Amino acid sequence: MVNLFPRSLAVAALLSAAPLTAQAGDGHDHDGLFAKAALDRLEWTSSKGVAALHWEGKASLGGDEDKAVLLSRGTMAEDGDFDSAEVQVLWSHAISDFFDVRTGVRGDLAPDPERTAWVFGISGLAPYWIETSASLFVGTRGDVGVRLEADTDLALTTRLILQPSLELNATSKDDRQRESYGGLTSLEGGLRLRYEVTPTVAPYVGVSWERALGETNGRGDSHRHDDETTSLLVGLKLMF
Amino acid sequence: MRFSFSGTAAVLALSCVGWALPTIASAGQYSIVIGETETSVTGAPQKTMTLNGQSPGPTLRLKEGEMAEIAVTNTLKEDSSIHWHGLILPYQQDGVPGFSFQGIKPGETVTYRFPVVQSGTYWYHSHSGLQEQAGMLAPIVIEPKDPDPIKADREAVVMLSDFHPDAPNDILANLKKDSGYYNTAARRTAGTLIDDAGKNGLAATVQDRLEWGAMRMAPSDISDISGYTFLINGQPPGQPWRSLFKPGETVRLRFINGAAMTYFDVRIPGLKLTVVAADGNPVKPVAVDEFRMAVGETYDVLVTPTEDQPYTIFAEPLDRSGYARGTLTPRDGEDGPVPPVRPRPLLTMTDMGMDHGSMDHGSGEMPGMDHSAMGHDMKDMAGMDHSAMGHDMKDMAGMDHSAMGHDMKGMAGMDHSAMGHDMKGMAGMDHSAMGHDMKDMAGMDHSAMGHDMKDMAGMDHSAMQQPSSPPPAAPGTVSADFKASSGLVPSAANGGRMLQYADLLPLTPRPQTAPDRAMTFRLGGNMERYFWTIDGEKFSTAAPIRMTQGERIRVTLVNETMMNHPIHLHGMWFQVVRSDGQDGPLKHVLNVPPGQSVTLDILADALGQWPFHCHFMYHMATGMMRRVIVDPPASSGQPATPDPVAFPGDHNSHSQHSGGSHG
Repeated sequence: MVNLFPRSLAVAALLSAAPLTAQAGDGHDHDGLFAKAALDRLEWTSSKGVAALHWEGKASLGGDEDKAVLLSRGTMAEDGDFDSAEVQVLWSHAISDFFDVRTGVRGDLAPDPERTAWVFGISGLAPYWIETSASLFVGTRGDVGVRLEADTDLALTTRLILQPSLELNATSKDDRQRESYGGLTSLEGGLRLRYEVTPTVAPYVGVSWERALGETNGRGDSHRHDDETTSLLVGLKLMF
Repeated sequence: MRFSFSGTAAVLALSCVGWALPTIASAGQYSIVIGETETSVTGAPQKTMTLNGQSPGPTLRLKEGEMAEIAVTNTLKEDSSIHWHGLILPYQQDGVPGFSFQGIKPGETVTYRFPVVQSGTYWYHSHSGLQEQAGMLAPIVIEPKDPDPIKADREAVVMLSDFHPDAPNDILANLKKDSGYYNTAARRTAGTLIDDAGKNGLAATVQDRLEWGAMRMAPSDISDISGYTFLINGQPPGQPWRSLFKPGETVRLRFINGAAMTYFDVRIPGLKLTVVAADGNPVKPVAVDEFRMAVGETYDVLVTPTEDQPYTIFAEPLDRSGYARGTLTPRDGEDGPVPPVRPRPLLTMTDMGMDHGSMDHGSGEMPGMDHSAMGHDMKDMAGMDHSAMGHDMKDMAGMDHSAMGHDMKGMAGMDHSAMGHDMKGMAGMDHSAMGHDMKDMAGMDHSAMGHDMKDMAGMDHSAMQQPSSPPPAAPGTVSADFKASSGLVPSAANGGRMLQYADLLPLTPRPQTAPDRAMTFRLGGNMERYFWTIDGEKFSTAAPIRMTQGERIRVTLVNETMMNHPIHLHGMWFQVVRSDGQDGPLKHVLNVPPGQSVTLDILADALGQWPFHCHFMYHMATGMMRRVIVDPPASSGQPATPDPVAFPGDHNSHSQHSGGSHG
């Protein structure tokens, strides 16, 4: 497996450099560009004695209606190899008060072999404060993937927030090299309890649960895929 | 230059008890230096923008009738400007970059020159970027040409402001990243859920959470930004600003709300406040216990402390996240007691503009009546049953049916027969008052109805008790007053009287002639993305609003958001529209409560281009502003102002800026 550390460093640099280009509005007559970068999840997970580092972040630069958005997520194993590393570069356009459509490209840099897909998605805050996102991935292999995500913040106190989350993945085609098979591929649930030291810094603890589904469940030489994985995690949520 | 604000004078004034500078100016020449300094309002050093070395700047004392020449020097490394808030002047002197001129460049001195045509309490502030929030604000006091109708033994300026430890541009950037960034303390939590369930029952609480959740809104969202320290004349609550009095003296307090984002409920426990002017213009004196100030408003208040004791000037922000505090004291160094801050109010569905349900419900017994409105007036009655209330109304006898019938003709979409039927039985009703308010019901003004209920005689007193507040000064209502069913409806802390816009009657009224035309503007916004709009457009994309000189335009502002909006027009007056047909007062800021529609007249008498905007700093900065262009009438033969309007050219501008050196 390729060590993608240099490449992930580049992504991290992009994520953190975005705010530096921000131009705050100048009072009036200005519809300025604003930048945001957030590491929603930077967490150390442990499952059956196997530790890993998982991250999910986003950065954006733009106005109220149109933005450039960079999404990244992935998992680094203890040995420094990447179990997965994904980057999406998207253009995001507001279609309602609460929702954006997004289109762009997704690159899966790890595991080998790399994959590329076009992305068409919708993302926003649904009624009852549920952050939602639905993405369609049209791969260069002619495969079509779908990812649905939802999470919400439940305020236990004004600073202690419990965040349940759910993610469902599916794909149209087998990808044996990546041990993924047509149909529903995985369902992930998470429960993270964070303490907002400030609105930008929030350490958390939590548990995540992942189940491989359909054909993907139980096929291949599943050294990574258990049928079901439950992990304990400790992490940090950051906004820049 | 015969008079200039010097830094020394400012420091001396600050070190004295009291803050008002002595009136020395007899001529009209003044100078202001815009600068920057470090202050430590909240302990840690903060970069603060100053006027003549202080924040707020020194009181600019003008004289009605003089030609003011004010040289403003910008020592900042960025462009700046000074706008004279509430002053009637040529638009080129209004001080708004992009409207009046191109701003004051670093190192440049620009001399403003304008005739002073009014008197009273106003203020001045930067209109560049977010500099006002950074400290660039100061009072203006204009001495009247004729003897002042407002008599006092002494006076003091009380300028309220809000100070934030974060730099204004960072605040805006944070709001854009996460509109809830500064609102975490207002979160509804598991704790409030349990509390509410205990109070209102689980089913009602869940229903309430679902209603708000469906809208992705929170009733606790009273203000966009928390974390402010509230100041009086630049001083925090811990080091209260003090002003001396001798017992028995009448003191005129010139209140100015110079905050960027904060409304205040102001009171001085132990003293009646006689409001004698609003937005600089004298009003018929009205004695109240407390008054609410929208951002940008000014109120002149007379107090006569008779006891030999300190009194606390106490100003709570609407979200009750703290307080500003000052002291009126017979001896320096003494402060009065500090009252507790009241709990944070919660918005209601009225504030969301969604109280139609209760309206319909009310129509059963009394068309158009809002039960929650009645609930407010009677809020001191424990366990009041609304249906019982309806019953009492029906039983009232002695109503003048013909008068009722007449006034009701004007009601839009009302069921007249039902109305007549329900009211048949009413006893001892105040017919004139009733008639007045009924006229207003075309607009479904619920608060009007609520008022009226208070005035009804012969009600079932055993059920009613006494309304806690005395009847308003005039029977008319003003649409800018909070509906009684609003979660933000003001009420005096001592159970006494809270000033309402309806209480403001001009001392010298301007005849409120029939409007020439009507315009409607929708105040909107996107809380999630944090921007604010007028008619769905941000300033950056909106076309100018065209008016013709001499027009009186009846403007309806429809607030489609859940926030207040202190709407401000430069260079021209708003005239408040009253339901009773009396001439309304002239104002430069009028609050438009959440979910309500407010009607006002714009007297479009000043040529040129003028900002028309929400005076919440971050609402203006993110779009809630329009350019109003007043053209000469077609009959004048003068050409219409081009669109967009060119700035006064450099040449022209320099000729106006006599006495200025241009760096």
